[in-house]
Amino acid sequence: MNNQHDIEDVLTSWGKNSRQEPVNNQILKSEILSKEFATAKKIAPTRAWPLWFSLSLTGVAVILFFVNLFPTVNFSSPKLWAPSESSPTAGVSAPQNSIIAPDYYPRDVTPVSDNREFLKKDYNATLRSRDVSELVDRIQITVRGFNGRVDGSSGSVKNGYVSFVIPASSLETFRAQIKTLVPGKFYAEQIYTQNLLPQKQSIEQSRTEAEKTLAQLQASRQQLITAHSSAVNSLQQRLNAVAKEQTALQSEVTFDPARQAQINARLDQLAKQKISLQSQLVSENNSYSQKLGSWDSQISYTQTNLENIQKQDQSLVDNVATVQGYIAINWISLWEAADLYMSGPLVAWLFLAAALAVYLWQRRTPEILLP
Amino acid sequence: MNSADERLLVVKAQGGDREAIGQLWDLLTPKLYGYLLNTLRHRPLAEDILQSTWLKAIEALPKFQQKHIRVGSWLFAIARNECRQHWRKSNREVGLNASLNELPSNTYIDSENQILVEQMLAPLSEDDRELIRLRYIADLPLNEIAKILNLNFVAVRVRLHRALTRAKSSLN
Repeated sequence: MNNQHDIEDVLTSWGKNSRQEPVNNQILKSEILSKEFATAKKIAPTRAWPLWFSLSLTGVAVILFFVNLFPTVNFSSPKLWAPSESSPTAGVSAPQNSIIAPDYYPRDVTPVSDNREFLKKDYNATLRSRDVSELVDRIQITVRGFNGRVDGSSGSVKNGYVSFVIPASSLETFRAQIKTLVPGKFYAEQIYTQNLLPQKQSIEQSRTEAEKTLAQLQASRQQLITAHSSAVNSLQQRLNAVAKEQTALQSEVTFDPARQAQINARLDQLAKQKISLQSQLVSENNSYSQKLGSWDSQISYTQTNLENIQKQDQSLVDNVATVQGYIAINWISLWEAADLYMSGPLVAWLFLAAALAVYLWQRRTPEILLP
Repeated sequence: MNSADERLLVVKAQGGDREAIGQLWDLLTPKLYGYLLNTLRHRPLAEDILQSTWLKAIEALPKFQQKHIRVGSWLFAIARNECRQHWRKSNREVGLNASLNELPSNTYIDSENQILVEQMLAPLSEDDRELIRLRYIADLPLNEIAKILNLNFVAVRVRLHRALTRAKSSLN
């Protein structure tokens, strides 16, 4: 006997030989048949309620699926990006919002020929997690790992947030890293992009004008200095000539009364002329001082203005080079988690599962009912 | 007799047809008695339990639902339960481990085969022997045996295979 098949043959033969009737088979049989026994008619039919129950649950599930197709009634839980009551845009429709929003830099003034990009990005994300505090910590670590700066954070059992700034060049890698923290269904993001080219152009225009004004002011100032020097030199030469003539007349010795009278008259004239020239010189100096002060003041103001413009320019460049971010972390219940993964309303799925369970329970192989 | 005929007989028996019950007796008693005799190793006791099995079966026949189990398997489940009750009353959980030789000499026709099977079954556990009895004496399919033993089909198949392997190794 070398294989299983031979053993089975032996056992099959043994089994057949073991089957036998009792010696007093007919007696036993007649005894059994002589007993009074119940018939099937006396037994109440079994109730088929599980089938109807299963069908009812299926029907409810189908109705819920159909109801969910129409947006008027939604049995699903709130979506990930439902605006909160405290949100500034809550209750404001999009057109109204766009009317209210100020528009300092109209888009149509940007010339098409300027193809420079100055895009300011704001990154907002909402994560759902069962462990909010741990996720807040991990986000902070991630921000610092990208050479970013955490500006604020908060973490509790139900809610948390992290506001931060990261270099714009790291945004894509940072987003990819944040996405790995939670399953895809638990992550939602919004990236706002603002075109700052009009601002940049405006700043550049202001800068050009300020530089032009400064150059004009400096030229005018120089022109004033030159004119003043020329005027002062002219007056000084005339004063020198008067002084020279006075010295010459005073040193002249004459006994001629007519000549002496001429000299005296001339000296009177020269004295008056000298006073007049000195007065003109003083007037010129005063005028020069006032005008120079005025030009210097304007130049100083223009230089300050230019420095402010340069600061604005640098600030804009720095602004473009960074991304302002805000990540909100909300606790998620198991129900909401299941709802995120279900394509339809979760309630309908539960009804379907209950219907299936009832059906399988009804179809299960029951234990043998022994009398 | 095929399965459909058997079902028809059961339906008739449930309706109170004594002739149908008689046919079921003739059909199932040899297997049932052979099983009981091999299990209990005691002819009068086997006859008693055979009788009590049939009485209980006939009494409960109107409630019997054929969609779950065949009537033959149901009878063997009742007989098994009757044996257990008997052993419980006798303060013993498993059957007597008596030798087949203790049975009257006319029980087995093929004595050479009997000795061979005796050698094969001797080292097996009572559970394995029960499995072999249900499979080869009662001639029940594995899924019906699974229902009687309250096991799943795969477990029964594996256990039977292992029992046969052990039986084979005991011969070697």
